[in-house]
Amino acid sequence: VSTPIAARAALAHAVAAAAVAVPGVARLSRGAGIEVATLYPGGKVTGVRVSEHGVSVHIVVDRLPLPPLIGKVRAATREALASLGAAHPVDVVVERLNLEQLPLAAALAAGRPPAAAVAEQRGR
Amino acid sequence: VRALNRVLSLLLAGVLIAGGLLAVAEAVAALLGRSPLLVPAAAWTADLRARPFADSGVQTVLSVVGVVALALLVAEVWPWPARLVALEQDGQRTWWLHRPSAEARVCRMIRGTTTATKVRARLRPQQAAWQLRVDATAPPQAREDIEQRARTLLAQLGGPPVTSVTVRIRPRRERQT
Repeated sequence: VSTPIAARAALAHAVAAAAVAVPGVARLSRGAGIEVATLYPGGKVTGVRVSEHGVSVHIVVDRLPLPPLIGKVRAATREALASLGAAHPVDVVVERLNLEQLPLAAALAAGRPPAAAVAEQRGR
Repeated sequence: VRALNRVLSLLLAGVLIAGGLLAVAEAVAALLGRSPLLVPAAAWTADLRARPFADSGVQTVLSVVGVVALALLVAEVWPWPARLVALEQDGQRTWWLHRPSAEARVCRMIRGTTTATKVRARLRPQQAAWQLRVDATAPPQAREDIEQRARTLLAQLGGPPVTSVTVRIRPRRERQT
C-alpha cells in the first residue's frame, strides 16, 4: 500500500522532529553519497526516508553508549508515527559519531588523562 | 558501489543522449544532401576498411578499451566491505552503524587515551562477530591497553559479544643523538 505524498511529508517531518529531540542525537544526516531525504512538492526532509516499506532515520550522535540511545530514537519515532495513525517499521542508521563535541568534563569522567582528553577534544 | 553505479549511469545516459541527437542531426543532413555536421562518416568508413587488424592504432585502442573494461569489472565484483554495519536485530528491524565513522572513532580514542600514534583501524563484520584490526606506532607494552580500550569502545557502540581484536604494534624509531 503506497503512502500519499502529503502523508509521507507529514510522517517525515514528525519523525525528524522526534528523532532530533532525543538527547544524544546531534542532528539528522543526509548520508554519504546519494542524499537521504523524503521529497515532496515544495520541499524535502533531509535525513528521513519514508517509503511504503518503512521509515529510515539517519542520525549523527554525540554520546555513547549507542544501544540505549538507539532504543530511545526508535521509541520516539514510533510514537510520532503512531500519533499520525501510522505503524511503519523504523530503521535507524548512525551515520556519524560526533563525540568531539562532548564536554571536557565528560571525557575526564570517562577516565581519560586531562592532556589526552583535551587533545582528543581538539580533534588531534 | 551504489554511488559509483549512479555516476556511471548518469555518464552513460549523457553520452547516449548526445550521441543520439548527433545521429539524428547527421541523418537529417544526409537526407537533405548536405555535408556532414560533425562526423565525416564516409571518410571514416573508407579509412577503417583500408586499415588492417594488425595496425598499431587498432591494437592500441583495443588494449585501452580492454584494460578499462577489465578495471570496471573488477571494481564491480570486488568484495568491498559494507559501508554500514548491521547491529542489533530485535526480530523486527535492524539498526546500522557507519563503518568508516566507527573506525575513525576507534583511532581517535586510541590516540587520545594512550601513547600510541599513527593509528589505523579496520573493522570488518563477519556475520554475528566483528573483527577489528588496529595498527599503531606504540611501545610493545601498550598492546594490552589498546586492545582493552578498543573492546570497551566496541561494546559502547553496540558490537556483538564475540569480537576479535588484533593489535599490531609498530615500534617507534628512536632518534639518534
